[in-house]
Amino acid sequence: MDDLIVKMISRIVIPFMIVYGIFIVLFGHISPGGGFSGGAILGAAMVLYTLTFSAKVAMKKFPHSVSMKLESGGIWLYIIIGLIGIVTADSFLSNRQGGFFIGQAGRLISAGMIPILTVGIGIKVASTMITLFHTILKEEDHE
Amino acid sequence: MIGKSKHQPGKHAVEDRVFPKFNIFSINSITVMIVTVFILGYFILLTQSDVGLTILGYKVVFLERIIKFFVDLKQLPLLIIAVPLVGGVIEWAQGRKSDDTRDITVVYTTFVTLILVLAMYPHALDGTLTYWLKDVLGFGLSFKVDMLSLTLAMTTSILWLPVMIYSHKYMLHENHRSRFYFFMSLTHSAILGTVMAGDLFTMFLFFEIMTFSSYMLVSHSESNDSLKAGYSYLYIGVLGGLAILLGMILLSVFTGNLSFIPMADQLAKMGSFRYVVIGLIMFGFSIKAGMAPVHVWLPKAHPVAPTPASALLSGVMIKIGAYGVLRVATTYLFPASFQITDYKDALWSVSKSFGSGLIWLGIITMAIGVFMALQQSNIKRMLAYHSVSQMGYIVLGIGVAVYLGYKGAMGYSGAMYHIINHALFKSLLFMVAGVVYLYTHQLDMYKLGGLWKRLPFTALICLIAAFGITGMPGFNGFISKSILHHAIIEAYQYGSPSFRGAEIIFNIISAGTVCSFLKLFGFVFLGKEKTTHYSKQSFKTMEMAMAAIAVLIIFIGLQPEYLMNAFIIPAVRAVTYDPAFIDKYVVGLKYFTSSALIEMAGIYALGIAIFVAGIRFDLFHIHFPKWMNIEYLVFFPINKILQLTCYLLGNCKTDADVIGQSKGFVNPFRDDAFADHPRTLSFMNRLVMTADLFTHRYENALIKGDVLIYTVIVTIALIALVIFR
Amino acid sequence: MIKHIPILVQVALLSMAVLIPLLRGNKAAKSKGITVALLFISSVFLLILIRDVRDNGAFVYNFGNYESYIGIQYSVNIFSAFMSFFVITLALIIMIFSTKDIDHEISRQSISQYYTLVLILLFSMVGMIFTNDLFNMYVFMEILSLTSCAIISVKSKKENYLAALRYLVLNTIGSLSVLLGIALLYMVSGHLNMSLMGQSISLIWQLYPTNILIATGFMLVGFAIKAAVFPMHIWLPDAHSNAPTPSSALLSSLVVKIYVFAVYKILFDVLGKDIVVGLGIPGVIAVFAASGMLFGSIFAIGQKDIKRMLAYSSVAQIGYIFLGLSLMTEAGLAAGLFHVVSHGLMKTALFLSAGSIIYYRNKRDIRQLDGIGVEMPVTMVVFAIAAMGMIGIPGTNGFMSKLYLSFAVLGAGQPLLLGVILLSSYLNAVYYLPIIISAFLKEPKSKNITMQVEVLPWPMLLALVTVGILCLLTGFYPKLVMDIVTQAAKIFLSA
Repeated sequence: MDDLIVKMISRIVIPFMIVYGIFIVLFGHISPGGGFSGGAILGAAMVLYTLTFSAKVAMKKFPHSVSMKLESGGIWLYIIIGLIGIVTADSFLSNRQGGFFIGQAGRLISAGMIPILTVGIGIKVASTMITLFHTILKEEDHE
Repeated sequence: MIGKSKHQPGKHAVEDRVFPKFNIFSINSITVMIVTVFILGYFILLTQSDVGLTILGYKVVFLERIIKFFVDLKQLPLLIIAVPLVGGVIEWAQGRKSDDTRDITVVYTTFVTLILVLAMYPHALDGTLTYWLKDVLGFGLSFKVDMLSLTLAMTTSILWLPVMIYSHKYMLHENHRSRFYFFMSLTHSAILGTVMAGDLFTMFLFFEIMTFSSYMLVSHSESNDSLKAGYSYLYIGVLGGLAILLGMILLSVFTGNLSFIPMADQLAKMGSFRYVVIGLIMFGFSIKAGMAPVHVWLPKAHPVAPTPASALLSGVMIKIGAYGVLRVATTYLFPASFQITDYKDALWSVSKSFGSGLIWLGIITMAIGVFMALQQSNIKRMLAYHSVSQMGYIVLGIGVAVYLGYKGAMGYSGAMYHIINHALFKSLLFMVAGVVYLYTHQLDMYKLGGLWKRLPFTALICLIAAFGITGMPGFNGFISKSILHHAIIEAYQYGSPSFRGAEIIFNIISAGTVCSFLKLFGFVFLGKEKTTHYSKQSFKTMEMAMAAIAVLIIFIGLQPEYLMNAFIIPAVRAVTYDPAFIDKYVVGLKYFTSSALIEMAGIYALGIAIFVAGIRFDLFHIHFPKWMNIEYLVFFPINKILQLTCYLLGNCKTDADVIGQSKGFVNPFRDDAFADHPRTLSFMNRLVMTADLFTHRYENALIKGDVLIYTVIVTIALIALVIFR
Repeated sequence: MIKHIPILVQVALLSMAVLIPLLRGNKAAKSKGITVALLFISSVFLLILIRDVRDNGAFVYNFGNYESYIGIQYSVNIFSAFMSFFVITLALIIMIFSTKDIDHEISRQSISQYYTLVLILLFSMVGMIFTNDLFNMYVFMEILSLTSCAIISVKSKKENYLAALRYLVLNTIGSLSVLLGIALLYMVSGHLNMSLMGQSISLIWQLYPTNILIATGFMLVGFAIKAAVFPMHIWLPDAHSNAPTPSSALLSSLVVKIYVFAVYKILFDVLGKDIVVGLGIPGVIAVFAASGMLFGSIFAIGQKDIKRMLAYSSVAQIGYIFLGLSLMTEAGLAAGLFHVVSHGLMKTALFLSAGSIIYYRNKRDIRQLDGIGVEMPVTMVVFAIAAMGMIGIPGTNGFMSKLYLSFAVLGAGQPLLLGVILLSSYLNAVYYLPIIISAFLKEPKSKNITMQVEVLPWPMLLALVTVGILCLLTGFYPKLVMDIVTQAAKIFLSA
């Protein structure tokens, strides 16, 4: 899309969207949201970027190699945290008994491993959305 | 050494290989033969007198230890089954190198099996030869060898050896020889397993293996005819197997036990359901036995197999079907000996009904067999129909054994004796046919003649075998036929007088057999020479093998008491028969009474009369109308239903439409080579084509309507669940 | 440590699956090596788990040590341990086969993607077997559906896309039905844990009969679509025949069985046998199973393509399993589970040998298979052994499962079903025997073939021979499997 107005507005809007997405991801254990919805918003931000500027630019900014690593990294994060639970507390995905800092309910740094997992999920969902969108665009290019 | 036959002026010599008279195979087989004769003679001496192993003094101590080891070996039945199996694998490996070494291996394997079977005699006699293999096939395999099993195992093994020696020369004219011998050995192993089985489950296992390995023998030559005959054989065989399986499952659920122990009391509790259960099992076994009306595979399968295979199929394998019927009938249907006192006891009613059915089925089989045999011109086909007819004799004997209950010992002995005898002379007849075929490449008896000059020894063998099957006194057939005759007389003496008619038919059919073999011998060996294509080979090893069997025939014919006392009477005693009856009538039965001899002469006269009449009035070429085919009649209702389905599905009125609509589909039943003529579309063809049309019509419709189907089903399921709770 | 084995196996599968895209260099070869090694190690560990469960009894594994009513729970008993071992081992055999076969089926860059998908597929299968939580099962089920569609469409041909799309749509319908059923049951019982839900439903089902009925109906239909019960089997022929051979083998032998396990769990753990019998469900299942057995075979007779014929044969065999299930007796359940194992082995053997024929000779049409037994003896012998099992010849595991099923049918007092079983055995003979016979006994259409020892690559031969030997082994000593399966049936019936 080559519209000047859209480009200008999206340049302003996209950072806010990303911040909002990160907020939802980080506060997943306190407020509604969490990894999936936050990641979707992050992904939507990048999709908006792709639509406004061309697909080529977006794919250079977010290449397949990076998204691959992010996705695998997300899953690996989840797995490693779960394995920590096995080592320390004899059960997969243990939270309090796994030695994570629980803290007070309602504060940002609390609830043990859940924020970490949420971050992992958020990253993964975002990169999945972007990959999917780029793949569909690539298919269209080939048609 | 392969030499070429010289082209002689005036006579066309068949282009085949001529072998020197004494090569390594013949030397080995002659050696094996001589050793076997000695061992058999020794065995006969051992069983007759208690001479023990002390004849040869010193040398025998070490021999005695070996013999004792094998005789007392607990796993002997397993070993006997394993030896031909392993031998078969070795033979296949050998066959890549040389034909001779392979065939020598075959002969030695058969020889070793025979020795091991002989070693079973002492323990089979005292009834302690049982073996249980735990956990195999879920329920365990059990082996139990009593005298009946041992008799059949010995008949099989003794017959297998000459046939294997014979087949060396014969099979050199066929392809895929190693495969043939492998499946022969597998069949041998399976047959021995079947007769040694101690319960119905084990017998079923080996029975199925036997069906499949003998299928490979039937369709060995891979021609269209043999493949077609093979399909018929296989599918009817599988049907029989499924029937036995169904009966076996039902029996096991109702009585909890499948071993061969007398079960008449439990069967009586089942009410009329027992007819279904036992009937299914007997149906399955009688398919293999070639009993009418399910004998239809036999005349198709036996002619197309290679001659050694035909000899053993006809000689041994169909007997296993009869063995199955006999075993099931005389154990499941009979009460245990402590449960009854007298032959009028109520528990015998179970066996009575089956017995009379078997007797009449036997009579029908005999009649159909002989009548169809008289119409044939192909020698092997005629012999196949005679197998059907002689199986009718055996089934008749079994029928009497079951019908008369406590007093059925005569029928039992007659059936057993005829099993042994028929094995001997039928295989001999097939071997003769094989020699004739090798010599003249012709199997049509009307096109042959005057062969007694060119094949004098074979003609003599054929004469001996023909005397055997027709019942000439002095040859073995006479003995078993007279015992069966006594049995039938007892049937109407102690049972219903309707069996008088059975006896009359029995005599007429014996006369028909005489006539038929008169026809065979006369047309093939006597008369003028008709063909001029003769092979230049000599058949010395084959003739030696045939001579061995012929000697056995004459020996049994002249010394019938040996088999009776050593094998048959101990077997009869193991069954629930009246011991007093056995001692009075069966032991010391006089065979060569004047009344029996006069009757035989009468039958021969009648046979000659039929032959003369047949030649005069040309009765031997009757062509039946199409609807008199047994297969057609049996499958008539199912065919009609399938035709109706075809009509509803694809709007096809005639069979030509059916074939046209399903053309180009897969499955050999649709192959043009397999559909004779649209009007005689066989059952399997029709079944497959109907399935085709059904698929063609509905498959795509189903696939396209997927969501619709889901919706309909969910709606119906929910409505049904909610409304009807 | 041993009690962590289920989750560790799953974690290993998942982590290796996402590791594969990150590899550099010869991705195809490395991914094959990783897959085979991982599956081998997993099956060894699962064998240790089976031994432990047999000695020490069943246990439950709570994630994060949470209570069962709020956490995810894995139930490790002899059934789940053995079945996951079976799944992983059979998958190992198929993956060994695929190391050489997959090069010919899909493009080079897709090979590593294929192994990723297979590992995720196995991850979800193991999860579905072990899990004791309904929603967790739903999640794994969704992963399973998606990856099984993916391994069909990884071969980029038009009919693959169509088949995968149809499979996807029908799977989604099935999943949604299941989800609706789960939601209804949760609404009524307040638990998602299967054992707790079972307890609460047994107390309250008099109060909410309609709700439970509808939920059951939806769930059963949903699972029936996925398990290819006639007449909801429609996606199966296209999907299984067009997929690459290892995918067909995986789908036909393993994936549809997982849904069978899910049905077992739902009917017995969640609802309980009494409620199920009271609802009249066994009769309905029996009708569908019997018709599947007959119609599957009838449709199979009319097929030209060998893989399509094998797919329809699967439909018929799944009918057997559901028939065993519908009897609701210990013998029936055990026979059904035994047939799961034996059919898995036989169908794998059949698909792998069909795949070898396609690999070597590029022939899929049954009419062109004359004389192929001479060129490929090992392949056709394995095919013959498995086909004999399908027909029901003694000595093969198919015969034993038919025998056990027949005894179970009679024990439950349904003699008519026995006739159906035997009739369908005979129909199996109608379409399997001609293939074997024409392969060995007819002349090949082209004349320049000489008999040679097999020229397939050794991994394919190894896989074929292994699965053939396993068929014969379970045929001759079915006790090995039958003991475990009978214990599993007892566990189900007593829950």
